[in-house]
Amino acid sequence: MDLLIPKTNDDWVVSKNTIYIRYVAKIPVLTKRGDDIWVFLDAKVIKYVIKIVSHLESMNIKFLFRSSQMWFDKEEDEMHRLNIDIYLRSITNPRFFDGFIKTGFDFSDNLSDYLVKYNCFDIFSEVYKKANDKAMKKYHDYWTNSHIYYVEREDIRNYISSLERDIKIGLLF
Amino acid sequence: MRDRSWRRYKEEVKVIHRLKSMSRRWRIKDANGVWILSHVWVDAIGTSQHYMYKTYTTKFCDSRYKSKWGKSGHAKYFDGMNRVRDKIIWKKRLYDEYGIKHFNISYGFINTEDE
Repeated sequence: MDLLIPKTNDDWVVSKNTIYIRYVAKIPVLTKRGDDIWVFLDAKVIKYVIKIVSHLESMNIKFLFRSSQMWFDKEEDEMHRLNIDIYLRSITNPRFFDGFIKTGFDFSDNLSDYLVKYNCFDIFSEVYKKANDKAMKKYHDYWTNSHIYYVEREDIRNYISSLERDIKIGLLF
Repeated sequence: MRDRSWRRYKEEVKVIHRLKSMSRRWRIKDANGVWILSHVWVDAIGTSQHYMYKTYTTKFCDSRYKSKWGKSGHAKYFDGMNRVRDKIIWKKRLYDEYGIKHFNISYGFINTEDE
């Protein structure tokens, strides 16, 4: 487990196959369950999540993301729904979006790995529909006579709208 | 030593204390934008409230019920335990215990020994 910790001056803690970061409280960032490595996609500790992701990428270790709401495993459907939801939620966060681009991490590739491993494309299409609708949501501002989107940045909106197509192409190959 | 690390520690203590006050709410929205019903104070980390609570200033509601000395601090019914109402007794006590003869109420203590 010590090898998975990035060499930084941050206060990393290892306990029972889990790596925590000490930021106000002890917050889990990575766990190992069996042979699988899970990284918690948590917006509380974005900086440290990106650090650990770039470290794992440099070591060529395969991992998947997991919702921070779920510590223990739940029923399969609910588990996948929560995990895919957090995948799509966090990519709308500009700090995650920019961080993954900076580190050169392929987010859609990781998501397609998840869908292939657990064979849950149906759940993805359900959750994606809601997330896409939410990202494209807009309202008309009378005073400025313009449309204001729920997700402000245009590049993130374009990324989300083309995400399903990218994943379908990724699954074919 | 009250250095930077000590100040950071004290700020963290204050922030945690303030975050724990959020446990009275029946649900909160965490940093991921998810509504959580059965929440603990750790769920509030990274929210806008968390960053707001980092400001170390006190508000009116924090300092209102403190026992204060001076002209501006009016005598209140809950302040009676600590406050000496009689100004003559108070000045006498100041002289006996601290050796202060003149006490400028509006600007604080003035030590007469230096003069």
